[in-house]
Amino acid sequence: MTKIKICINKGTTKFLFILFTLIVIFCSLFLMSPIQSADNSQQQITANATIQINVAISLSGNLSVGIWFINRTNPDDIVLVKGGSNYNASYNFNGTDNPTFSNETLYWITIDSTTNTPIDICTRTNANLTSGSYFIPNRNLTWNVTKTFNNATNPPYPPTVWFNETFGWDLDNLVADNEQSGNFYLRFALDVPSDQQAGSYNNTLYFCGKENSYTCGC
Amino acid sequence: MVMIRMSISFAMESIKYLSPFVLVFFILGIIFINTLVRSESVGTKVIVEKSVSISLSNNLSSGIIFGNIEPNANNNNATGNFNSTDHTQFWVTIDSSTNTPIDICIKDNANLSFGSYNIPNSNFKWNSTTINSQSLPIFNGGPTAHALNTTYDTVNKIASNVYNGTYYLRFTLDVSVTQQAGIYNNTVYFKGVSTDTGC
Repeated sequence: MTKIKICINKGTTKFLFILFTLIVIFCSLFLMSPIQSADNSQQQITANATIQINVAISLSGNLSVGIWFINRTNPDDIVLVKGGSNYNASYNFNGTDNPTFSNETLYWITIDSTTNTPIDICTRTNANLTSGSYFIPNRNLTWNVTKTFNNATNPPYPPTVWFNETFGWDLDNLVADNEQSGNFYLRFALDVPSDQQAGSYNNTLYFCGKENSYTCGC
Repeated sequence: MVMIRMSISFAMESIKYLSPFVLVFFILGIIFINTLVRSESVGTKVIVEKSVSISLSNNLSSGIIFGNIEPNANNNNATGNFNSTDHTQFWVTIDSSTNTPIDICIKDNANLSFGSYNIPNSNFKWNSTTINSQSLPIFNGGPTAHALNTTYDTVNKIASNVYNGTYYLRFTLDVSVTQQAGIYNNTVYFKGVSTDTGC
């Protein structure tokens, strides 16, 4: 009689036992699991819209007609004398609409409600005030601005910021910085050099509203 | 006697090492028998699983793009609303593998948004028909248009209780005068689902 002794290492036996047990468990779970059905199908996409920038500013009625340093109702009434400083523009203090304050400026710029992004408003002149070959330098034409407040003391007078002939990233040019709404009130003044030639001096002022950035200009 | 004792000893030794296998085969046997019994009990009953599959046109898959829009403008067309022959390039198709009546629904995840700014869902409208022409689907944002919603609802159904077909879509967007400038996005979902279940 032949006897065969089967010897299996104990560690191997335990490993096989665990393996088969796991297989049994997974098979049982599979057989007991409910039927999976694909009764729906969902897909997703993106929607995208780019709303364009709209910038609109408007000038007050008195600013629209210009900045005058003479009596407009009586232009022959000479009010500027050479060597004089801080001459008021005609409507610097003529407001009477404010029930609390008076002497408001009638010069202002409004950012219209249709403006849909923060903007800068900057200003410049085209040239010095000129009369023929004579001129009053831009630095003699000064301005100041405040937002919201308009009374006898705001914007501050006399103004301290003088004009340039270029837009650009220059605090001297900024009426508003990164604003999307509101009124910006202005006052203007003029210094007349002591040796200034008599005459009628003119130039052109520009106000530019543009999307806020590191430069300002239109 | 000696032989008997040796045999018993061998058997005990074998059981000691093989008992895990016996246990495993015992369990497998029970499962096998159980399966047989179960199979016999269901007889010839066959359950065909439901299959629902929808697909989007290439232009729709690429997204609903409105491009650059000026504020204060209503019924802005999505760029795929009209191709060169005035047909929409947006459609949803029920695939032929679908074997049960389904509903097709649409929703989005939120208002179109840009940072903290929104274009409300009530401004984002769609229409669908089974005809693709210059006038259909209607694109004027009028009373037949549906505004998107963030949940699937009874209004935002592109199709209902259908097995097959292609459903053409047009999308419009209203933008108010005060809408903040920016790039607005959201996610739009299309779901085909067994009519029994519903969206």
